[in-house]
Amino acid sequence: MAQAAGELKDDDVLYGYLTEYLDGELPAAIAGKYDQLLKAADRPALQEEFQTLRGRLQLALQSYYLKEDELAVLASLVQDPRVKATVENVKIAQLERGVAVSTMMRRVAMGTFVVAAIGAAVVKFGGPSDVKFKPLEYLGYEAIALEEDSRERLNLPSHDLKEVRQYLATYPGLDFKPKMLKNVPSTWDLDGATVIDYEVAKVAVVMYERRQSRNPEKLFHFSFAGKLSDLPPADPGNMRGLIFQTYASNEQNVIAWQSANNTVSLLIGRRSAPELAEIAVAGAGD
Amino acid sequence: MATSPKPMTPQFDEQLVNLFEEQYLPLADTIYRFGFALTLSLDGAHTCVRQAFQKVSGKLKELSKSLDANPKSVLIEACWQAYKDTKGGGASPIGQSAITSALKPLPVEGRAAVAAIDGAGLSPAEAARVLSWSEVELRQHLASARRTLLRDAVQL
Repeated sequence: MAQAAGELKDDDVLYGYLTEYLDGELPAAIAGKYDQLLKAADRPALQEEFQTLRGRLQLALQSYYLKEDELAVLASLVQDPRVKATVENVKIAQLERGVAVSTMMRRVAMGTFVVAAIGAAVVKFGGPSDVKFKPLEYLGYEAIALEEDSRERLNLPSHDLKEVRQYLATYPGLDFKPKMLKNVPSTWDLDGATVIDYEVAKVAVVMYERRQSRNPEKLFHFSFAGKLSDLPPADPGNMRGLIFQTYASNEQNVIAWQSANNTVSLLIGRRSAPELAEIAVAGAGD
Repeated sequence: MATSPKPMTPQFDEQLVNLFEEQYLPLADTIYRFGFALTLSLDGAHTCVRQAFQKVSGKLKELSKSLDANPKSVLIEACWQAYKDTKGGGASPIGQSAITSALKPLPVEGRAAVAAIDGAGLSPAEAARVLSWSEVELRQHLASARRTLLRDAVQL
């Protein structure tokens, strides 16, 4: 650049290097000379005048621009507009498909969440009104489970009558008075008690065990809030004034009676129904 | 009379299309203004810009391999070449706009130098290369044009 300046007239250097001068990029070889030329030109506002001129020139040129259709003609030099439209349509279709899939996934996820939330709410708040307590079914299974593993299932393993009575009497949240058999035959030992919470109903359980027999035998006295008439109908029995209903499964016999105004008792064991009734009569009255 | 390169056959080459659309097409207005400064005519500017882009589209593959190809320089060079090939595009200067009035007294070389450097922002060295001048010639044309514009104190 400096070499070119050497071949130029002073006036051409002055006007030809105005941009570099303003940008502070004058070649060092002509920097000194340029200042002298500027002073000699007797045009103190030359830089400002040039800057203004350049700005106006750029602004005036900006009013010239191509229209969309003219740009489209230029674009068509490398790609047929129909091909371009097709490519764009394909891309849009792919995007739409992606959006549709993600929207569907979102909706499915949202729907699942809502259904789960409603389900959880129903279970938590509406469950008791829909789920019915089925004493014979539930307690039959419970008796078998207690037979197999009473140690794990009894909250209070105890042979102390007072202790068991106190446990049941002070158990919180029961809407009935748990029953115990008062005078069970001496061959049966008290083995403990527990309260089963089915959410729809609470059931007090007292377990007895007959240890003297070769095969230890267990007997369960369940009591819960309700009426005998809530149970499935059965032929009533009468054991010295104790009115009871008898039920049986392959493994157990069950007798049920109204042990208090709002309390039903079930005695479940492997004894015959009359034997169970005898035990119940002996122990009734608590 | 030299002929323009045959335009690229319309076909889909994604890489080249992207190069053209992303690097060259956005400069269309700049080249249009440069073409206008040369021809002082809208029709002439259209002719210049169309022929410049035709030239460039015909050598996109070559340009895509050239790492130092400056799209603006490439297009201005093509536009200048198109102007020279068509002798100004055959359009007569028309219009009474301020820019037309300001540039009309200048020779085309002066207009090219001012439009390339002060208008489009090329460096003098790059402008000299694309306009096929020595740097001395460029500085002479540029100085002459600036001097005239400043002397006449044109109102743009």
